[in-house]
Amino acid sequence: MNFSRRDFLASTAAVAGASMLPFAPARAATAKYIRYSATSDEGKAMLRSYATAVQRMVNLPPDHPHNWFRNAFVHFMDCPHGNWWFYVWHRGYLGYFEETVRKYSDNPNFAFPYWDWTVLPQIPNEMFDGALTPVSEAFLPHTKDLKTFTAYIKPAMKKYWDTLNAAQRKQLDIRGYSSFDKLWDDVTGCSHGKCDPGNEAFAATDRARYLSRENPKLDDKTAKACSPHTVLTGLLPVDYYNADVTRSFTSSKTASHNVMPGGNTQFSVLEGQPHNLVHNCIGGVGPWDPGPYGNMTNFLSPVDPVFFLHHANMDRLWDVWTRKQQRLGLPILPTDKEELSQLSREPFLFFVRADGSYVLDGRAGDYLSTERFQYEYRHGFGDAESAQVAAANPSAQVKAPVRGTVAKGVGSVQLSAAPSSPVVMAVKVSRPAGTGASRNFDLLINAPAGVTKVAADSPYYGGTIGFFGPAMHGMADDATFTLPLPQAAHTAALAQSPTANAAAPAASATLEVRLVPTNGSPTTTAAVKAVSLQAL
Amino acid sequence: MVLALPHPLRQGEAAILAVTLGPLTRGQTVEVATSDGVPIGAAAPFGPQRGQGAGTVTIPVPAGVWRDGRLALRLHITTHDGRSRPPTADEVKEIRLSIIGPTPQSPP
Ligand SMILES: [Cu+2]
Repeated sequence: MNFSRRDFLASTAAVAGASMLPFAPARAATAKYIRYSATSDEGKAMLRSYATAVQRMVNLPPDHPHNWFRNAFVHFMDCPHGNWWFYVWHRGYLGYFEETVRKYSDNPNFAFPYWDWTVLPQIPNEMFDGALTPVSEAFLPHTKDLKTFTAYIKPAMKKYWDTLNAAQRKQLDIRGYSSFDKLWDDVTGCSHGKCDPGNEAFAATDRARYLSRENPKLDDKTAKACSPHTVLTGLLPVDYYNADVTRSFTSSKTASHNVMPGGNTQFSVLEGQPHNLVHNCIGGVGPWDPGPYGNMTNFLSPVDPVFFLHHANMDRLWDVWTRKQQRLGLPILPTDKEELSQLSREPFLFFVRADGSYVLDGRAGDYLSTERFQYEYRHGFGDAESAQVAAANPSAQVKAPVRGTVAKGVGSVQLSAAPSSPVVMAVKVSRPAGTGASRNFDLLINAPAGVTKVAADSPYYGGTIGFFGPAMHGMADDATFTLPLPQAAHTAALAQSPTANAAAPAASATLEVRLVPTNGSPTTTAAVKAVSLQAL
Repeated sequence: MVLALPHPLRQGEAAILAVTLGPLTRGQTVEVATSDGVPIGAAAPFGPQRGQGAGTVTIPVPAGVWRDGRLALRLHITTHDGRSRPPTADEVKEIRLSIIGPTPQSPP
């Protein structure tokens, strides 16, 4: 990966532009639900369904297992952090909860949108609307202050506590909650009359979220933790777990997922950096020191609806890592039998199904794949970029790239028939200089000569690339972008090749690629300087 | 403190710092930068802190900060009153540099 930061930013834009393409991983046929980027049209439609469901669940009585705050207590009582069950527990938590939200949203296709903070280092604007922010009228009757919240939910929580079985109580003991009072201490941040406002999980309505519509941006440090460099490095480890945390995709191996983070905890890059800092920044760590903080900072964080967009992105990055491993022919889970068994047999005893029943016999092994909840992700940051990692790996069985030729700013490259794996196109682009020059360009694939503008659903559309910042005069400003080759372009090229016939598409075809400005005058277009294809 | 790369980074490799933290209170953030002030990253605990230490955090090192394979680090800890100061040996216990890459490690 010898990309400069500028290249990474540029390819981020390329991937964002490509996120609505029909390109999908091999298992697309089995996924019933799509988790879209929150910034896409589909993602925004999901947010409207989500808002409906949040409002309804906030209004449910506190002894209803689907009550919005009760769901946050599932996280509060059982979430693992700083250990190797972090990803798998949150996958189960989001999975069941997505089914529940689907039910209350009246949208039979509902799936959580993900917030791709690498592409958009600020809270998506829609998350400040109505019930999608905890700083709203919808939450006020229950979270006005601690006294109101306590009167509202504590009796229902105590009633639930009294129904817990021995196995559940054993889990809570490990967490330090040997009694209901000890659990409640972490809601208030007080123990035996001594209070640490920083540990108070409850957040009053007016301080429930630090970032606001007027100030939606992640601070610089948090944005750095979400940067392409940090995220790609976090995707680099080749072991699901390694005792050396710098080589481990997951955090520490502990005796139980309920071992709370402490001095021996080892945080993987993705958990310790983007995950933790995004939580803290939204909750006001820094400006609101020493607390109390907003919801996102402590373990009642799922009270803030943005929690599920943040965690959908963490879950997506696990999926990106998994597919990178598969492309490299590397294991996606521990290879040692005892270690895999230890990971899989861990009991998860607090999830709630969409029918309101409790999952009392769950295990980590139930949630190691996305199949149980039948969803997949539309492309976000890390997909095409981790393909570069695959390409850079000398020891894995990766096919050599097919290099194309270029004449007069138009690239030409040979595509072989129906590859069994996705294909990524790397396009080196020379940026046009001059005031008013476009910064965004659409990549056209085998488009007839007259075509100067395409819609995202055109068979000629190969994605959008974008340059950031001002063009530097007198400097070569080339950048290489990687885009997943759309399946439609692939199929169309083979079917239209001169050697194709009615019975069968051609064995190979030539892809001709050129660029047109996304908006604006076609006279300022950018030239293709190199093109290649890489089967993953 | 100055860290040295054991060998120049090869294509596809990355350098990572593993920073072991002692007990921190909420709101305390450890910031890692080069000696001339280029930020490398920050670490802050998430969730309630019970005074047992905030664990080890891993922070990637950007490629551009190495000078002849060496990296001079400066650490700061920010506190509730908004001031920052160097951390004590109790607050940052250890810093380790590691090189990782996509090349699979041979099994132990
Ligand atoms: Cu989280």
